[in-house]
Amino acid sequence: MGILSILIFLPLLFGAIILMMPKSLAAYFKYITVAVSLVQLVIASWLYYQFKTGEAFAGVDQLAQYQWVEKLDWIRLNVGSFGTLQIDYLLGVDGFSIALVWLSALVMLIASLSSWEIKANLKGYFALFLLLDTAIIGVFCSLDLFLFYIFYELMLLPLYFLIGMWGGVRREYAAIKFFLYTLFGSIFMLLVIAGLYLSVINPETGNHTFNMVTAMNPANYSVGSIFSALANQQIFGFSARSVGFIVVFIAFAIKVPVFPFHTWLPDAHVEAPTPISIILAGILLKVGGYGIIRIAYGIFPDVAISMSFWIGLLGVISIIYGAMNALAQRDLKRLIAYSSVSHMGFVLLGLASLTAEGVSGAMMQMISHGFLSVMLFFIVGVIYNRVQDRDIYNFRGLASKMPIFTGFVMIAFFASLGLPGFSAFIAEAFSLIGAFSSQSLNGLLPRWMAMVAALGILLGAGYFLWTLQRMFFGTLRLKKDDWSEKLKDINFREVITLTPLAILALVLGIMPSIVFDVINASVNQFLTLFK
Amino acid sequence: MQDITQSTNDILSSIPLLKPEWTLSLGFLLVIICDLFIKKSKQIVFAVAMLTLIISGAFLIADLQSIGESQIIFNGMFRLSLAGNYFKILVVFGAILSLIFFTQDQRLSKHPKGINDFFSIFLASILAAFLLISSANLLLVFLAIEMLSLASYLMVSYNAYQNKQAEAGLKYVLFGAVASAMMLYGISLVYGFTGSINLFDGQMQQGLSQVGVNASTLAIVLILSGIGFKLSFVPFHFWTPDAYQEAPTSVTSFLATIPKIAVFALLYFMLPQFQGINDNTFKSIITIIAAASMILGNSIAIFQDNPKRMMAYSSIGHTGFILMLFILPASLFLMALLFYLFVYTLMNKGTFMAIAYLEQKFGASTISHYKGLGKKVPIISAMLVILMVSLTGLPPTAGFMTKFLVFSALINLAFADVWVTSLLVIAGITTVISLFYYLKIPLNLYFNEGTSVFADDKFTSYRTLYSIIVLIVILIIVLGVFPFILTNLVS
Repeated sequence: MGILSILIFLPLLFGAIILMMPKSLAAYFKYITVAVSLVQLVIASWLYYQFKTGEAFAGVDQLAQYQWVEKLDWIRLNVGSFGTLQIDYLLGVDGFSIALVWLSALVMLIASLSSWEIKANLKGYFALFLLLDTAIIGVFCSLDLFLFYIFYELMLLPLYFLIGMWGGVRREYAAIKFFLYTLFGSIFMLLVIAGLYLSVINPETGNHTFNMVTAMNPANYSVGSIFSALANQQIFGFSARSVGFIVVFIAFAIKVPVFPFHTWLPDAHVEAPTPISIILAGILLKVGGYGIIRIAYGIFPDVAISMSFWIGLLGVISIIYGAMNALAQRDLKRLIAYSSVSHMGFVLLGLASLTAEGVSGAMMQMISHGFLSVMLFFIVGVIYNRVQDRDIYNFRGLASKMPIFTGFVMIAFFASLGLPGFSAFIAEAFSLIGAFSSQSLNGLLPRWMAMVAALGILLGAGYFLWTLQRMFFGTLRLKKDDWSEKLKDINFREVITLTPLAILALVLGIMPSIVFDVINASVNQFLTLFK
Repeated sequence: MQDITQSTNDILSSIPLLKPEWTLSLGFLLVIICDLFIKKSKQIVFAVAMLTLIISGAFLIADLQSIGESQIIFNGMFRLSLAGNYFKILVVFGAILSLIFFTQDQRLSKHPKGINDFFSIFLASILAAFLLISSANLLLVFLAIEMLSLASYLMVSYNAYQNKQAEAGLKYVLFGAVASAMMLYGISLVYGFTGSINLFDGQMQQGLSQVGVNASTLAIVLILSGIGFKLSFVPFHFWTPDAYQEAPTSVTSFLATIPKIAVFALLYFMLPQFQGINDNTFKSIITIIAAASMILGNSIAIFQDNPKRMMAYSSIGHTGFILMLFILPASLFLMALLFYLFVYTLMNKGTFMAIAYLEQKFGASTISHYKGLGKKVPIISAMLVILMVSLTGLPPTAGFMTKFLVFSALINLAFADVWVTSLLVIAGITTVISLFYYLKIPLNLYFNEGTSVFADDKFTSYRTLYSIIVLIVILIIVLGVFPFILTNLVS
């Protein structure tokens, strides 16, 4: 039993245990969940520490260079039409996945600590939470397209129930919208996966395979198959490879989310309970980014190069559109949701530039946004838990009532807008450098994209600082008088949750090599796909 | 033309080969006799019926080893083949589950005269299904479809004492009569064009090709009307929602599974003949029917409040999905078809059993009445969620595996043919639409608070239904993760 399998299935085991425990022990469920998340974080940290860096361990399209690989024959189904359907249970991590696995473990721990506020129906909540945990780590570790798809879809069902049962006022609408939207993207991705299966041949065994890594090498495609680069088949009059790339890109673009596929995000984030918003913003959006890197760009690099301009354009539009929407919001949670859209636009821009700086910046932004958005949503949760209201104009001068809390808010806001010294600055700076130098390095993105995106940083400063001033500074004035007693300063559990995130943001801002050293080899190997 | 000695010898040598069918006929007679002469014979009759099914299943499984090539017996009327045996085993499996369900259905068991006659009709319908699967002659096809239809009409209207129930039963009968008449006309056209009503001697294909596109299309469409009526694909589906809604729930679950298995088997065996005609106009017909069924079934289901009516439209959608497979040559998709029909039987039986459980225990007959039931029956609600997920086709359930097998079987043709690609796109979109209405049930069970007071029937325990539902769901999840358990049993 490999270490990655243990990491993935440990929460599932404890979820089953929680289901079987009697209701009388409901008080212990939250401790079990926190314990499981803590164990996962320890394992993930150990894996990250032991991760070998260097050119020999780059991974991406070299299966031998992946680490902690596990391979089991899983399904051998004789279906007549094309012989035997072969699906393997294949896990492995490279630079891109290990960073995101570690981020997921951290975010799940924070979310489980935040879940202590859930009061109703604890058994169902924690069982679904742990199932979600399994699915998320599984997505990042799987190297077989079919296994990836199963974990990817497995994430959706617990989220539907978690949002729909424990969420806010319009939770049913938000839950079904999220589910339908994401399923729409992924059902067409299933068709592309089936097509890839029929096109890709394992060079060692001569059979068709779902292996992601094998699919990245154009030499492995059988002659005349639907996605073979040489055969140039057509679907609906368009090149089959372009259609495949666009379908897969849209499936993941819905998750990132990229304008114009982002409309599910404000509803889902706002209506979800705080811990689920944390998971949504912290990890789920990164699944989209990871999918674009690993599958869309990895398997269809030729199409990616030709579409770079449009992807970069979508990234820039997301940045500006998300930021302008955030400026217009009254609801604090909705503002942070739109700021997520804006920040993930930087990921897309950095990726589209296809330069080492750009891709590294995109990865760094994913990790940095991972814990900064967690901090931001947790902060909203702190206020909402106390007074059940999130409207910015109902609060004024909270700094005098909750000073320690305001300190954390300041760190979170300044870090998110890209203050140098914090991780988001490194991430955004590198993405912009990559986008800016793309015109001279590979001619893919024009310079004006980076310049317009930089405006997004300015807008970010705008809405964050304005919110800080509106809600926290000045004299204390609240909408209702009884709020004054309810708004106590943050307690020990909340401090424990927020402090490590703040420290991480600072540490990564001063020593980004912690991340860059690990992903560097993989980024360089990734870029060789595009030569 | 054989002389009388040869035909008699043929008949005599064929009789021992039809052991499962003889078992069913014997069982049918025994049930009637037991009901007539033994007082309070409910348990005995149930035991006889169950034994009949188990013994015929045993014969079928034993025959799996001994059947080699397919053989035509009974003077060209029957055809025994390995694939046919697999379909028959599926029918027996569904029949056993149905039989248990019939005894648990309150509406049936409350019938003042008892349901022993019902069991005999049921056994006759299974016999009809067997005949349909192994028929080699269009007349036998017609006879078997009529026998199956008559048995179904009786089963649907068995307990129809209210206006709407009687109306639904009558709609079913009238519609079925017209569809059968159209089918008979199609059969007579085929005889006129080809001079043969034998399915497997190649003359049908030859004759229909010679007659020209228009005439052969007319003949095929007319025959498809009878088939379409039983499968309930568009445009022969109009009876389905009413009949499914008003029939007793156990009969609905029977209707949704067993006739479909039998008629899909028939269509599968007739496929090589149809596909050879006139460069495959059959393919265009099937494409249009499959697309229309998927679109109509999945769209109208959104607006339904009655769970059985919703499942009726969902079954129309599933039929359309399975029909997509019939674009391919027959040898390529047997495994996918068998697997889909097996999982579909499981999912449907499980869902209808859960609906019956909720209806009988809590009086909740519409989906809006389900509000708040999630807390009262957590396990059944969880089982219903998994069943809905499987019906949509999401991992890690068996429903996802079946959808994936169908997609994989078809994707190869996608770039060669724009129709197939559009069909796949329609299948994808309708799967997403179906998620919406399938999730309405868990939505009402869990998300909303119930305002109505539930009549909790604490007297009957419904333990049988409960355990079967749980077993079915476990099987669905196991098959979803390890589908080869089933497919390795089939060669």
